Amino acid sequence: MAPKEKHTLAREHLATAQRELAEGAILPAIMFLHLAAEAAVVSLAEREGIDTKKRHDRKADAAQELFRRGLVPEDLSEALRSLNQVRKDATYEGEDPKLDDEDLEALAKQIEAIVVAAEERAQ
Amino acid sequence: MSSPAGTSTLPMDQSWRNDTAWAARLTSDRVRAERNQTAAQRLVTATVLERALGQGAEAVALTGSTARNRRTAISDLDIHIVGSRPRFEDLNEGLDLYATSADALWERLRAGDDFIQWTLRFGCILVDHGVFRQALTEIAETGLWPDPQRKHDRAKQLLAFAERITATGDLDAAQDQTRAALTTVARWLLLANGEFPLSRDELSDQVLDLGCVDLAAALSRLIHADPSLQELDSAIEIGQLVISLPPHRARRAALSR
Repeated sequence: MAPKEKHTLAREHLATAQRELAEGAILPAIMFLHLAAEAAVVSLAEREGIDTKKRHDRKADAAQELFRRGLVPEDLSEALRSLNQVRKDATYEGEDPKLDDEDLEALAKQIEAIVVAAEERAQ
Repeated sequence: MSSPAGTSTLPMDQSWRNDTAWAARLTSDRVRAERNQTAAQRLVTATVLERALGQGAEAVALTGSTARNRRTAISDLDIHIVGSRPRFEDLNEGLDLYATSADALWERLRAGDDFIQWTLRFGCILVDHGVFRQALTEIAETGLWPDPQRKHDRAKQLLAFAERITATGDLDAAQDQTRAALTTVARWLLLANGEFPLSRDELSDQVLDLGCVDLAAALSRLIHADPSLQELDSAIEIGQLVISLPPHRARRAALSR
């Protein structure tokens, strides 16, 4: 399979996260929300010449910079850092994710706004 | 589970009941933490330490690749806290904060957790009100060894997820996930063969020493290069093959594919 464009991946990951969330699969929902947010941020960051160096922390920094430049409606940097930590705790340490359905639905809405921004910028 | 014979047990040979040995460890750890971090990392660590202690933390250690001075381009700054996790989202550094209560630390340690042992063996202890020293003493005196089965179970899950992500075509995410999965496979293989896994960048040499050439090569590519999706598929296949076999056969598994 050939690599896809980041804004396309962001939308697909978000759709997967929403499906997982509807099925009550919290951990996969967290994983895919994180992937969706990162893909959207990288899509926008690359167009702005911001190098995220494939690092989660740089992607969070980029989210802050994109907000500062007025390219996204919200600063998602803290949400990205928090999601990354939750995902690592759950997948590597086997901890129960400390986010419930409501938290994740709210996050999904925030992330969708960035995905939309990435899609619009890509057109 | 007890420590297998012949294993490198640094620094488990010490008698941590001895105050002089303990004081020397703390001094040496602080020097190492200072030396191995950049100025920016030292500042972040100091901030986390201050916040953690402000929330009543019982112990804090710098752990992971920074403690071993084996950071790569993808390394986080890993900090292990016995206490509650302080606010960190405002800190501009790739941070991984591992926080547990003292009770949870003991429970996990005795259940065969390897990360806690890693911190105790190789981490730089920055503050300890007693729990790290007690845990080290118990490991040294009982020969407690991490349970490889925990890593095997985790590796299986991570490989399945890596396969799923690779199928989406998201190359960056697939590389990240496959690296996590193969790292866990390598840690299982080493623990099950009586070797304590070191930092991620050292794992490929460690599994190479066991004779697992393909796993070593795949790990190294995942850390230091940008493999294609096809290469990631092959790496996942190697991981699945390795964990499908008993540890003594898995040592040479990839060679005989």
